[in-house]
Amino acid sequence: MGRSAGAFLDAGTFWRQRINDAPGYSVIRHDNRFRANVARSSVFASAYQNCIDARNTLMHTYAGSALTDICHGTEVETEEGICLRITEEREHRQLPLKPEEAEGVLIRRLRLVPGIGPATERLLFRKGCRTIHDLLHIRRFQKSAGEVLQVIEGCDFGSVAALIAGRMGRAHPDIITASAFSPDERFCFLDIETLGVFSRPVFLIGSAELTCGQIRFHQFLARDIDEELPALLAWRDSVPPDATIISYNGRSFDLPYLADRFAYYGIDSGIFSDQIDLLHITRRLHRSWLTDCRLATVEEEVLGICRESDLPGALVPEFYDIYRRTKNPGPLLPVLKHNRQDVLSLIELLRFYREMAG
Amino acid sequence: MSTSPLLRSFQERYGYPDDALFIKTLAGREAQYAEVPHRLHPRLKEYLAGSGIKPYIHQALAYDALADGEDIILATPTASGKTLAFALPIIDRLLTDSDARALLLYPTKALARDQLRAFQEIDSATGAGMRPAVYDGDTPRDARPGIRAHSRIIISNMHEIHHILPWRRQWADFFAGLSFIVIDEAHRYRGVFGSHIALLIRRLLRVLAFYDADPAFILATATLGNPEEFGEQLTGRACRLIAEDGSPQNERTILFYNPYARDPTASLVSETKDLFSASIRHGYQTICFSPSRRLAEVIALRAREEFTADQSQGTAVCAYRAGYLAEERREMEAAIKNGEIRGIVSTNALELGVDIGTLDSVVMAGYPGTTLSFWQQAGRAGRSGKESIVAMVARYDPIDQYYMHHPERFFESAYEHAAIDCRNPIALSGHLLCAAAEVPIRDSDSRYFGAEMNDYLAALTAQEILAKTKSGIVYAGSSRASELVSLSGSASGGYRITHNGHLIETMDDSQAYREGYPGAIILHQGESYIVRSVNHEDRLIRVEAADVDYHTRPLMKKSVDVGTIERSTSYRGFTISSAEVTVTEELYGYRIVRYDRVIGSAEVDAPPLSFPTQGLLIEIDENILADGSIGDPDGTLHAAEHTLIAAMPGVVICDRYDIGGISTACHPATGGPAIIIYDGYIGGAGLSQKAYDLVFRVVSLAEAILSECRCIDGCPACIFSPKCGNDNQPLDKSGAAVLLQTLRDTIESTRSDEFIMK
Repeated sequence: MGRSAGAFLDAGTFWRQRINDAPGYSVIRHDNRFRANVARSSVFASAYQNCIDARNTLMHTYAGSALTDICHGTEVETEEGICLRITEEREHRQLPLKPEEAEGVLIRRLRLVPGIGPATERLLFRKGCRTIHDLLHIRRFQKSAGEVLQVIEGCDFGSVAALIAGRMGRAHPDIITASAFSPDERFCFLDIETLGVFSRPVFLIGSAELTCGQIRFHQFLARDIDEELPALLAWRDSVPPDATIISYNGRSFDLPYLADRFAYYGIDSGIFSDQIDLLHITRRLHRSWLTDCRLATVEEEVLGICRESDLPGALVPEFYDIYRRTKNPGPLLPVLKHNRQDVLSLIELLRFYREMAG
Repeated sequence: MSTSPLLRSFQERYGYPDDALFIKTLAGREAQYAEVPHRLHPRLKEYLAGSGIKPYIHQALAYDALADGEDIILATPTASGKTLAFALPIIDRLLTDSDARALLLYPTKALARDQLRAFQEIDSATGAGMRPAVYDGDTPRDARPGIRAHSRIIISNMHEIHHILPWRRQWADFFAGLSFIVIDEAHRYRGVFGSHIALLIRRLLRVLAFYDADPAFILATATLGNPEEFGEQLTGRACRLIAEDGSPQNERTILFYNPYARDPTASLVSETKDLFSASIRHGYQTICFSPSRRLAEVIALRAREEFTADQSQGTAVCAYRAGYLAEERREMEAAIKNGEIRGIVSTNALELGVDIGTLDSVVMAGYPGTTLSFWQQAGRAGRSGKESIVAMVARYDPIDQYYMHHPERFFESAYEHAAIDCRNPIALSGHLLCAAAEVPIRDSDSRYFGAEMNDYLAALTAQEILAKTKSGIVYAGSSRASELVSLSGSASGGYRITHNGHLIETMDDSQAYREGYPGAIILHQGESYIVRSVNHEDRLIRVEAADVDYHTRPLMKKSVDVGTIERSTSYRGFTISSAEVTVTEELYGYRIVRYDRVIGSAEVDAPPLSFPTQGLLIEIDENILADGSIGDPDGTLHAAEHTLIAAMPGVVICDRYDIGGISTACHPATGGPAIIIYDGYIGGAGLSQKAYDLVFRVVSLAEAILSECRCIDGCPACIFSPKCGNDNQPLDKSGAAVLLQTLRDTIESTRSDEFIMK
């Protein structure tokens, strides 16, 4: 039809056409790396073509299949209806860094004491002050050092993290050290998949907990839009209220997004107050040498995990949309896989940083 | 009666023949004050007393109506103290209710910033501590949370609201306390744009209802023929009209000049340019308004040439219109305010509320199309203590010549009606998508979106852009709804015009179709550019600088299919209907024009632009055309169509270019002779629907234009159309006069019959 507006047969067709004409990403021709930063959200042409080929194969393979053929979930009931929960349990080695080790690291951070900056810290080191305990003998720092020690020895993640954030910023790697004060059971590793970057439904919430030597990984899936609210509620109810949310860019994306979706339905989400955003830590530690700080890049370069045929995040909405509209579960497979890998990588990344901290 | 040298020189130059020049002096008026309302908060009373301000009657009436819980529409001229009329009731409420907040919406960012200063002044003078702030696209990201949390008076614009609504979680506190919504320059929101804004306001009200807020509306508008109806269409609420203007008014001299009375071949450009530069030479800072941006550029160019030639004024003349980049505009506005620029040529962009203050005199290149625009533009002249002159150069076209023949009628004529159509299918369905992304839509929301809401929801749900859930209907599209829907009417994004890779301006789709074809000449800042290539996929038009003295005019073919007839009235020999139609326009070439003379033409191969819209359908009994006094039936229909289109802007606010028409002796839809007039926008703009309601006024005006024109067999002042795709062939003036007179008399007698029956 070209640019003729003659296609306005009815409102549905008109807007469907508009949406199809305006994908949320751009495909970069000839994989030209230098154009990659121009577009808001972009995919290299070769990767794009691979994904489309893979999607077509999946759709062919799973034509006529039901969702139960690709994943084993159980329906969860909430007061607002049902959604699907896919659960997986894996073995888990306890995270390194015991609370007493963390305490040992943190009491050497003289900068946690108000009035001490990097320069003073170096000076005090040279003078033989090794720990905050040593500061108790210097009159100028006596009082505040005592207070800081009290916080550290309290071994409470929330208060220690607040102290570190206040003195050295939220992205400081010592936040990781402080996480040792939190029992592993209290962590909730979170990654969500949505229909866009803002004001559209969230359809998949991937969430993992560490319990009794196991990783318990849940995916709360809205099989259609009417299951979004049930998925939100089921996820919220699965997380202990005092949980520490661990995410990759969750501080600016996942958690506000969830809060917006709860608010959209007129429900108060009860925001989780403790969070660790591993993107911020990663930027602080690795920005200087990584090509970019995307989770997949970090996995490959830092953790040495290589994702095979991973679905680029930019294509996730389109794949879900196709599943939803055709009911062919094929395109959903790479989305579930992508989300699962993201959440599991969060655990590995935290483990890696905890090892570094020790 | 005139003493100033400028007026004398005008009279000497243009005073012959008698009917070439009409001068009328409008007496000034004393201010009418009211008592300070006794209910007013003591701090505001103190403020008024302390600054020696006595409220005008309309300010006091506005206060009283709002205090009584009414919504109001204020119809007083620019510079009548509207800011205080808003500020008194708002600050009064905000002082007594610590949760109350106000949202002020202005059409431009510049106006918003001017108003911010005014509100900051009143705020600090009263010590109200409302922290008034502007929140728009230019507000720094890090300042935004603070404004949302602490400012109790937020000044913004419609585009910002369109994008804010889906972020409503961040606005929960502000929205929950919202007590007032001010919409200034409300008359701007008419036609297609107005239809989008009316729907946006429905969305805002729906989100506010979610937070249990139900604010009062304060609308301000220029004078309209239907202010109450317009206010109700825009907001969905009955608005009380306050039109008693208490502000004082300077004496003004209005001058109508008809160059065609002397010389039918006169050039509007040079006549306007002469008046404009004469005014500047006499030391008047002058603004010249032109009907098109093209004309504005040419007038500025010619005036500048003249001044450069005699070295006296340098580059003190500039062209100013929409489409310039923000930076260029700001520089120009500053130079106008400080008087560096002595002459400005502008399109309507300036008329609409950019505060460059008032100047000494106004020159209009042609009647600006509506009484509303005329008085708005005239309002730019009137610097206190100085004589102000408003001069209009008539064009050689029907409405201008009609008013030149009857200048007094202009001052008596009824104001035109403004049209809004909340049922435009693209606007309505688009805003339903946006609304669904803000709060799930429920059945009861039809009170905002009308009875058709459910049909659209069903169509959008069938395409799975919306989804049904237990909580209501939810947006499920993969693109952001508020980005899909553009308020400016064209549903898709605009075209960018670039020169050597630099963006020089932007155009919307229909404008680009009509003006941005390969070979077209585009003028920017007085420079000519030729269009080299048009890339429809990327919406990019590449131009090259071209030093040419001609311009181009598009040639179009069109056809109209009639769909559903919505309303219809039968008369003896005529049937008049309001219908859904589909129009196909096809650009097939363009004319090359040098100083109003066609010097060549070229072909263009462009895909046709086809769109559904609304039309006014006039079916005519063949027997009427067979009457002996009609010589050429085709020419009669064609001439009547041109005259009706020319008359329509005299009744319904629109531009001749907003509407199109077609006439044929045998229309396939009707099987007989028909004239169709349609809205030139996808989905329609309510213009031809409004013309259906006011058809007697349209037909009467067309009949008067035709019967009173002194030409013999047609001229641009009656039946010639500047945009006719058939080179104004064939046309039969006397036949059209008979036809329109018959039509007018038939409608009139039917109406009086009905009146007698009642």
